[in-house]
Amino acid sequence: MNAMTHSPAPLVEVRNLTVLLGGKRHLIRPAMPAVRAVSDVSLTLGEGEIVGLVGESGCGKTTLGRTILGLQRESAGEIRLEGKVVSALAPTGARAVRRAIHYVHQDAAAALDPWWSVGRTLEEGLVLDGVRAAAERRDRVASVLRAVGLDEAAARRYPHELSGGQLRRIALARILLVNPRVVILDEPTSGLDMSVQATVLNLLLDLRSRFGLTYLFISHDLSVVERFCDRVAIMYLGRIVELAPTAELFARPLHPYTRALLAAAPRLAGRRRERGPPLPGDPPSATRRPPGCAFAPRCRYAEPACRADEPALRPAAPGHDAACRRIDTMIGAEPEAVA
Amino acid sequence: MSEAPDALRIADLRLTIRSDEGPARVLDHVALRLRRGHVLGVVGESGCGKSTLVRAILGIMPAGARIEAGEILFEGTNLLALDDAALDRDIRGRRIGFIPQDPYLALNPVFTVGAQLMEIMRRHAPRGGLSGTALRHAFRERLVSLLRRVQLPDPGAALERYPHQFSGGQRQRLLIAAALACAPSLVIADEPTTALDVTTQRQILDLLRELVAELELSLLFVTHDLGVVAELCDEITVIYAGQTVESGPTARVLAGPRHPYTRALLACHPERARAFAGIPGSVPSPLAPPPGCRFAPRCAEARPACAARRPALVPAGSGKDWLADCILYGQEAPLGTPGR
Repeated sequence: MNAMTHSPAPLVEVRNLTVLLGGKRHLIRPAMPAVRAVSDVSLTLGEGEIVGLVGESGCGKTTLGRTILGLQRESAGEIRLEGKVVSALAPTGARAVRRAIHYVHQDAAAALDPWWSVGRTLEEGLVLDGVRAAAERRDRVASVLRAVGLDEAAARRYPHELSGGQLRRIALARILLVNPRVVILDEPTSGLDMSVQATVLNLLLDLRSRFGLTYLFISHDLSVVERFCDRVAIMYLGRIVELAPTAELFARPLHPYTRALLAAAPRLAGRRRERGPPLPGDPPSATRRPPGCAFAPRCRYAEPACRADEPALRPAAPGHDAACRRIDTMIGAEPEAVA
Repeated sequence: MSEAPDALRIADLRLTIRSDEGPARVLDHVALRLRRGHVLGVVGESGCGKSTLVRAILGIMPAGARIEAGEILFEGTNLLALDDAALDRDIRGRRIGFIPQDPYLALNPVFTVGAQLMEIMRRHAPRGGLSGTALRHAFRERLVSLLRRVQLPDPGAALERYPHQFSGGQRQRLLIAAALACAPSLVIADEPTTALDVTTQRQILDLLRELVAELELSLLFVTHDLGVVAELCDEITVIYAGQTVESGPTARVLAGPRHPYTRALLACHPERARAFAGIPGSVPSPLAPPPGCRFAPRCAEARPACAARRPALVPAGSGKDWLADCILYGQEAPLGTPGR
């Protein structure tokens, strides 16, 4: 659903992005080896598109989001915004050229100052943006509050007086104030009850069409992603292992990890009859990255060559990329993992 | 002789918690029935009273909480009639095991896992006439075999390690082993997989299923995730704002929910939703709940009589085990609650 026409030049283009974390020398502590949190990731966001970024904790999805935003500097690779290179900059410079990109924090309550009224927090964004006139700031705050479905009086409330769903709305209002074009939504519905989650998703769709927004939707909830996103990227240990239009990905998952992930997600429709055994073990930490394909130690299709070198993300079907050495086998194999 | 009593039966449970703004009526006429060897999913959104219900069953209620009415029958014994010493000696941790929600908070970081599990055994486990070193060895042996059963790698060495040395999934396995340490017949799990990733969640759900069958356990599984209920639970009880609104066999309730709240909740699920609509309004405060049916102010089917309705579960679908508390299915309770 929600397929929009993809403009020829993507709004955001990420090419071969790698992010190393840590590895710095410390005065007293010994240097820790750098961790490759994001490894050779390429991804595009078309104008008006909703791209889902899915993976389990520690897979690097938040780091990728922060790097696109500009808070984290990339170690290699390139980021383009409307065709213009906006990477290879320190965070301050990066934010200056990426002002069209904004981020909604996963924990809406933690992102607000408990001592400040919501209105004051919202106005601060405008102050930083150089809006001098207090009356104009108040008007704009009132109008974004209405846009996210809250009463203007919410400006006088404090974060603890608001429910989880209302806090998400405040977080979105705060972003709208600064005229974003791309919004990185980090787990925007985690911790919300289902009835509230539905209203937040509905609001996101509404804002997208009214304000012409493009979303990078970071989530681990597959049932939401299936309904909400146009395309989905599956991440495992810093790499995108599969990338496809949503309907295609859920109908014909190719990468063994995607299959295991889909098979593990609980569904209302009940237990799947043939979904294979559960994935063994825990996701390895990025600090102890297995050689070759990082998923190989848990993969039941792995062969010795999988542990030798890392497979690249390459087209497996039209518009459908996967990073797996055994992709031909996987295309032939029944997706036993999904119903 | 009549058949063995249910693992757990709760009838007409009403609980208030004192607060600065007056009594909060947190549970109002909660009823549920867990048959022996079954898995019952208790479902509700935040603030519906799920966790308070669990604490009431275990007798570890927050300060200021008072049970106004009702009974909690565990294998025929009314737990509300027992004093705390008796609960501690015979019930909690011994005949009823508990698996908490957050595997990161439930273990003490400064003691080894073995020390913490041994503590449980010392307090609650039957000693079989042993003492001293022999008892310690017997306990240790039982723990090692339990850790092996919950598929923790290298169980012997695990006892010497500290909680931070385990992953989230492994910690949840440790807590399952802790709940099973004294061979309980009933296990209560409060959202045990909420903090876990989906592939780990599946491992833990599969493990719980196996353990229920193998050890003939009854499992009360509290969750907000209807997908998890669909996969794990034989029966489901839906709670809204402290009231049981519907209960019945999982597959049938999920396929054709009877209570308007259950219907609205399922309609919000991404697998079912036609559009992302949500439920209008919000959950009422337990300080000033609406009279009668607490869902009425948000209900599309509400009528004036709903406010005067006395909570009562009545048969609402095929079979006598499918009950709903709604005016659509009758005014009064001809058969009473599942606890009667």
